[in-house]
Amino acid sequence: MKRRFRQSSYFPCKIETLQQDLFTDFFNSSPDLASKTVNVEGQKALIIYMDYLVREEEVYNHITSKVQGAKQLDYQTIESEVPVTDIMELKTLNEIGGALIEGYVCVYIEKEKHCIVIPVPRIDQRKPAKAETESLIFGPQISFSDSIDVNMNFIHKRLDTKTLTAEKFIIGDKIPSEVRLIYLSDIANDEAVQEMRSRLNSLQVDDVLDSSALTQYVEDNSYSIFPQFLVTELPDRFCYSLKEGRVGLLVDKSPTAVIAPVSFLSFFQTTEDIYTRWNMGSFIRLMRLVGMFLSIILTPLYVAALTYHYEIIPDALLVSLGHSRSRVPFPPLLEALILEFLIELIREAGARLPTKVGQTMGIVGGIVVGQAVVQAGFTSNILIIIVALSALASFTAPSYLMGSAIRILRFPLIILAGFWGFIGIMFSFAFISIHLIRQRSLNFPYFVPIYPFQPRDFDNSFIRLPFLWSYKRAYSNRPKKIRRFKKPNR
Amino acid sequence: MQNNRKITLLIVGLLSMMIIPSCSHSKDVIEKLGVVSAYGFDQNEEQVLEGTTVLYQFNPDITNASQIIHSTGSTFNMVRSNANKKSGYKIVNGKLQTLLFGPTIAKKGVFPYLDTIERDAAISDMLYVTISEEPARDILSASNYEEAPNIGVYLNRLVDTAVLDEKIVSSKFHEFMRDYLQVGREPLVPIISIKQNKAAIEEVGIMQGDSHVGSFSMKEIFFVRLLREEFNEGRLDLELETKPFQDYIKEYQGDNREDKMFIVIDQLQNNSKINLTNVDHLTYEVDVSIHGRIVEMSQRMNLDKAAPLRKLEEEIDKKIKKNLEAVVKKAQQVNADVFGFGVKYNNRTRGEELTREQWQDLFPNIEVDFNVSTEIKRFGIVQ
Amino acid sequence: MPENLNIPDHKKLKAIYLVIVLHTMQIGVGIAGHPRVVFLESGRDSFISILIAAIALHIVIACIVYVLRSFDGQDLHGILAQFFGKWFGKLITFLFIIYFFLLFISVLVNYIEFVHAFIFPDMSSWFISLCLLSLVLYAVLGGVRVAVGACIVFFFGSVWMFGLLIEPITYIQYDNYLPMFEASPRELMSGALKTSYTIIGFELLWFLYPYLKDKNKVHRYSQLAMSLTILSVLFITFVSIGFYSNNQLEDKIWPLLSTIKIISFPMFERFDIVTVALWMIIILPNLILFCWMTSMSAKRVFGGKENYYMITVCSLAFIAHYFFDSRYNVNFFTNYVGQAGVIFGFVVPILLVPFAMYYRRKGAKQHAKQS
Repeated sequence: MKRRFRQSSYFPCKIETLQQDLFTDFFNSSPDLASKTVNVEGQKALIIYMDYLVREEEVYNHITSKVQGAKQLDYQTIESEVPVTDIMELKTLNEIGGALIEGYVCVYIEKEKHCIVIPVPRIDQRKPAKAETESLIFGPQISFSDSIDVNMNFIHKRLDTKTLTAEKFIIGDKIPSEVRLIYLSDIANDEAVQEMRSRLNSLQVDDVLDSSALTQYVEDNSYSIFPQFLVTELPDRFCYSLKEGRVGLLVDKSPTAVIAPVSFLSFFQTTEDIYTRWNMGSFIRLMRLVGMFLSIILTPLYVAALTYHYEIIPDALLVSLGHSRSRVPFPPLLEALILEFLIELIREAGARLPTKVGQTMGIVGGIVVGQAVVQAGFTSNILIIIVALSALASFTAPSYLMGSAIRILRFPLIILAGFWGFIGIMFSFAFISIHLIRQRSLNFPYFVPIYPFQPRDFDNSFIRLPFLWSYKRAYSNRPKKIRRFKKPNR
Repeated sequence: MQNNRKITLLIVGLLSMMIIPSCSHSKDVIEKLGVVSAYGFDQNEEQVLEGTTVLYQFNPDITNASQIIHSTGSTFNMVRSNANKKSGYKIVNGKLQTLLFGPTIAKKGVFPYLDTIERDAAISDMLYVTISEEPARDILSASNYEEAPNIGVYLNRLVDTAVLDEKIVSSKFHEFMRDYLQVGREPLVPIISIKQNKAAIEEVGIMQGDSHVGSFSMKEIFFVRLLREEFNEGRLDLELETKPFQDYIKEYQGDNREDKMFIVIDQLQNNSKINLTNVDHLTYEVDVSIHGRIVEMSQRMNLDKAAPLRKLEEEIDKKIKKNLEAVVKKAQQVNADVFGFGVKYNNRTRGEELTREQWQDLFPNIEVDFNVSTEIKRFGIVQ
Repeated sequence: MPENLNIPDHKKLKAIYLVIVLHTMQIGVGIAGHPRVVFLESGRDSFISILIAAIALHIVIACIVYVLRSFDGQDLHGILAQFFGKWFGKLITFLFIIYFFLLFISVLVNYIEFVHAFIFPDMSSWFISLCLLSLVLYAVLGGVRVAVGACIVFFFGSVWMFGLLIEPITYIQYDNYLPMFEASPRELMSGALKTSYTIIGFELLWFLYPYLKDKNKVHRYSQLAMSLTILSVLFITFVSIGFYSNNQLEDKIWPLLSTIKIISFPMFERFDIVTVALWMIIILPNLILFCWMTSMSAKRVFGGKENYYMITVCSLAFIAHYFFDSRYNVNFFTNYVGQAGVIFGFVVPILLVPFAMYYRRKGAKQHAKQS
C-alpha cells in the first residue's frame, strides 16, 4: 500500500479512488479534509483541501466558482482562470499529500494523467510584537515573528537587496523545517559561510524545535557553558551583525534568529550602544562588563574572605560583619549557597508565573523574604546586599543565554572559594580564561580581540568610539570588505 | 578531537574528586575568631612576659565590642596561646594594629619580641610600634576610646592621625625595622601615656637600637622631623623675643606691652640637606630651607613691607637654629642618632661598612652647623 | 637529516606575540626573590649586575636568532641533529628536556612555597600542584595556540600589578642607594649570574620559532621582550633597595612580596594575600610553556603523540614535587637549576653560532655550484 503513494503511474484514476485514498490512507480519516466534486458537461473534477490550512473564502471565490463556471474542464482553462501563480502539476499521491499539508488546494479532472495544486495557504501569524527578552529603550523595538517569510521581509527591508543572499535548507527527517542561511555575499567571510553550510548539510536530526535548538546542534563545543552562537529576537541586531560580516540563520516557526561567528564580548553588546551617543554607549558597555565581573566574583570573595582571609576585611566592616555573622548557624559557604539558591528560586518563580503574579512574587521574594531571612539570623545582612547586587549585575547581560551562564557559573565559584579561599577563586578564573581561549565559534576564535590579540578591534568591543574613529568592520570576523565607509575628513 | 574531550572530562572528574579530601583543611571563619587589634607587653620581676591582648568582640548584644585578656609567657606566641586558654575564640594576629611595650621592656630592648611579627606573613607590616612609661597593661585598660571598637583600634587611630598631621615621625613596623636595621639612623616611637582614663601621645621616645633611652617633647619632635623628613603641610609654633621688632610693632600699639610674641606658621614645607663637610673631623653642615604661611601672630606688624618681613624671617631662622642645635645635643647626650648623620657618614666612606659600635663612639662628638633660611610666603588677609 | 617541521600557515602565530610570551616566560617565581639574591652578591650596585646580565641576554638572543635563521623553520632539535648527527643530537635534546622539566618543577615548588608562606600554611602541597597541573594540562592539550593565548591573557591579567609598587615608591629612602660603585667586578659578575635564573625562559624561542608567521620580525620582537623583562627586573630591584634598609633587604626571602604587604585598599585591607593568589596567573604561563617545550622536544626525540608526553610531564612533576617539601630543599634545588640555566640558556646558543656560520657558508657554496 505504501508503494502506491510513490508510484508515478497512479494517474489516471477515478475521482472516488483518489478521494478515498487520501482520506483513509494519507490523512488517517481526518475530519478536516474537505472535498467537492464538480460536474461540468459530464466531466467530473475533484477539489480537495485541508480546511484549516487554506483561506476557504478564496477557495470558494477563485477556485470552486471558476471550476464550476468553466465551459470546458481542462487544466489549461483552470490555470488561466484561477488568479494564482505557482500552480504545480503533481503525479504521485505522496506529493499531493505533502502539498495539501502546506496549504495547497488540489484539483483533479478525471482521466487526466496528473493533477494540479494551487497554493492558497492560510498563515496565521502573530503581528510583529515588541521585543520581550531583549527589550531596548532606544531604537527599533520590534522582534522577529514566527514566520520565516515575515522575517525575511524584515531583513530585506533593512538590508541591501543586491547582495543579500539566502540559502534554503530543509532540516529534519521526521518534521522538516525550513532553515535559511543568510549573509551578505560581498562582505561575509567565505570560510564562515562554507563552514555553516557544511554543518547544516551534514546535520541529521529528526526535527528542529526552534532556532535555539538548532544552535545547539551545530555549535562548536556542546560541553561548554557559554553559548557560542548569538540567538537574538531583534531584526536590527541581526541585520547589524550581517553588515559586520557575520552569517545568520533563520528557522521557520521560530521567532529568534541565530548569528555566528560571535566573540565572547559580543554577548555584552547591544545595538542600543550604537543608537545612543558613543560616550554613553561606551559607558554602558563597560558597565555591563564590570557588572558581569562583579556578578561572578562578589559572592565568592565574601565566602573566601569570611572563611579564610579575615585579614583583608576592612576594620570598619569587620565589626558589623562579625556582629551579623555571630548569629548565623551556617558556615559562610552554606550561607551563600542558600541565599543564591533563594534568589534563583525567586527568579524562576517570577518567570514561570503570569506577569501580574510574577510581580507580586518579586516583591514577596525581594522584600519580605530578604528582610525575614536577616531578622531570623539566617544570613548576614551584608551577604544580602552582595547577592542582590550580583543577581542584578547578571541581568545586565543583553543576551539571556549569557546571563544564565554567568548565574550558573557563580555556584562552582562559590564552592571553590568556600573550600580553598582565594586560591580556589584564582583557580577558577584561570580555568575560565583557558576555557574561553579554547572555545571557537564557527571555527573563529571566541575570545577575540583579547586573544588572538587584535587591538584594531578595540574601537567597537570593550568601548564604542565615535564613527569618526570607528569606520571599519571588526577584523576578527575577517570580512571581505574591511572598510565600512571612507574616513570622514574632519 | 574525541580524545581531547575524554581527557577534559577526566580532568573535571579529578577536580571534583579533590573537593572531598580538601574539606579537612583548616578554616578561620570570622565569628569563631578572636581577632587581636593590640598587644601590650610588660615584664615582671621574674623576667616573665606579661601580655595584654585586646580582642574584637562580635556580639550584637554587648555594646562594648572589646575584650581584654591578660596572660603570661616567655615568647610572643606563648603569650598568645596562654591568652587563648582564657577565650572561647581562636586568637589570631592577622589584624594586629598596635604593639605597645611597657617601660620594663622598652628600656631593655623590644627587638626579641618583634621577630615573629616579621616572620609571620599573616601579620601586617603597617601596625604601629609604640612604647609607654606606664605599664602597658594600665594603658590598654583605659576605658575611654571614643567611637573605636576597642582600645587597639583607638591607639592606631591616635598615632595615625598624629602621623598624618605631621606631628610625629611615623613608626610603622616596617619603618621601625628599617631604621633599626640601618646603621646610623635610630628609630623614634611614640610614647603613649594616660590622661584622665584616655590614652594620648605626649612624647616621642628616642630609641638606641631597640631600647628606649630618652624622649623628645612634642615641641622638640618637630625639629627632629625637620631633619629626618619633609613636611607637606606642617605647623610650627614659635616663641620670639619682641625686642627686635620694637619699631614695627609700635605702629599698632604705641608702646610695648609684652617682651615675648607667639607666632604660628602653617602650610609649612621644608627641604633639609645634611652635608658631611669634613669626614675626618665629622663636621656636618645642614641646610634647612622652610617656607610657609603665618596664621597667627600675637603682635601685629606690617608684613607687607620688606623690612619687617625680612626681620621676622631672620628671627625665625635664629630660633629654629637654636632649637635644632638643642635637639641634636639632646640626641648626642643619649647617644642615639635619630637624624641619620651616620648614614651620611657611611655613604661617604667607601669600601667599609659602618658598624653600630663604631658610630656610637663617633656620634657624641660630631659637630653640626645649621644654615636655616625661612621664607614667609603668605600671611593671611591682613597685613 | 631529521624530518622537517611543517607547520601549516593557518596554524602559525603572529610574531608580535613574542613580546608578551617571552616576557611572561621570564617573569615568574624568580622575580619575587630576585632583589635580595642580587643584593647579597653585589649590594647597592645590583643594577650594574642586572645590566651586565642584560647585555649577555641581548647577545644570546641575537645568537639564537642567527642560528635559527640559518635553518629555515627548524626548532632546536632539528638544528642539533643537523650539526651532530641523529643520535648525538637526540642526546643533547634529551639533556634539554631534563633541564626544562627541572625548570618546570622549580617553578611549581616555588609557587607552593609562596602559598604556604603567605596564605595557607596547612594546605597540602599535592593539592596545590594538582590544581596547577590540571590547569596546565587543560591549556597545553589545546595546542600551542591555546598555550600562547593563555600567556597573553594572563599577562594582561597581571601586568597592572606593577602599579601596586607606586605606594612602596613613596617609602623609598634615597640614602639606601649610596655609596654606589663599591662592588668588585667579581661580585658584579656573580650578581649577574644570579640574575640569570630570573631571566631564564627565553629558550622558548628555540621552539616557538617554527610556529611564527613573519620571521623577519622575530629578532626585533624578541629583543623588545628582553628589554621589557630587564626593565621590569631593574624597576623591581630599584624599588626594593630603596624601600628596605640594606640589612633588612638581606633578611627578606621574597622582598617583592614583602613590599606588597604594605599595600591596602579600602575593600582589601591586606593586598599581599590577593597578590600571592594572583601570582598563580604569573607563573601559569611559565608552567604551560615549559610543559609544552618539554613534551614537544620529547615528541621530536622519541616520536609518538605529544598529548601523551604532556600528561607524562605533568604526572612526573606531580610525583617529583614531593621531594621538595622544605624551604631548604627548594632553595638548594632552585640554585642548581639556575646554574644549569646559565649553561643551557646562555652558553649553548653561543657555542652553536660557529656551526651555523659554517653551515651558512656551505650552503652558499652549494648554491653557487648549482647556479
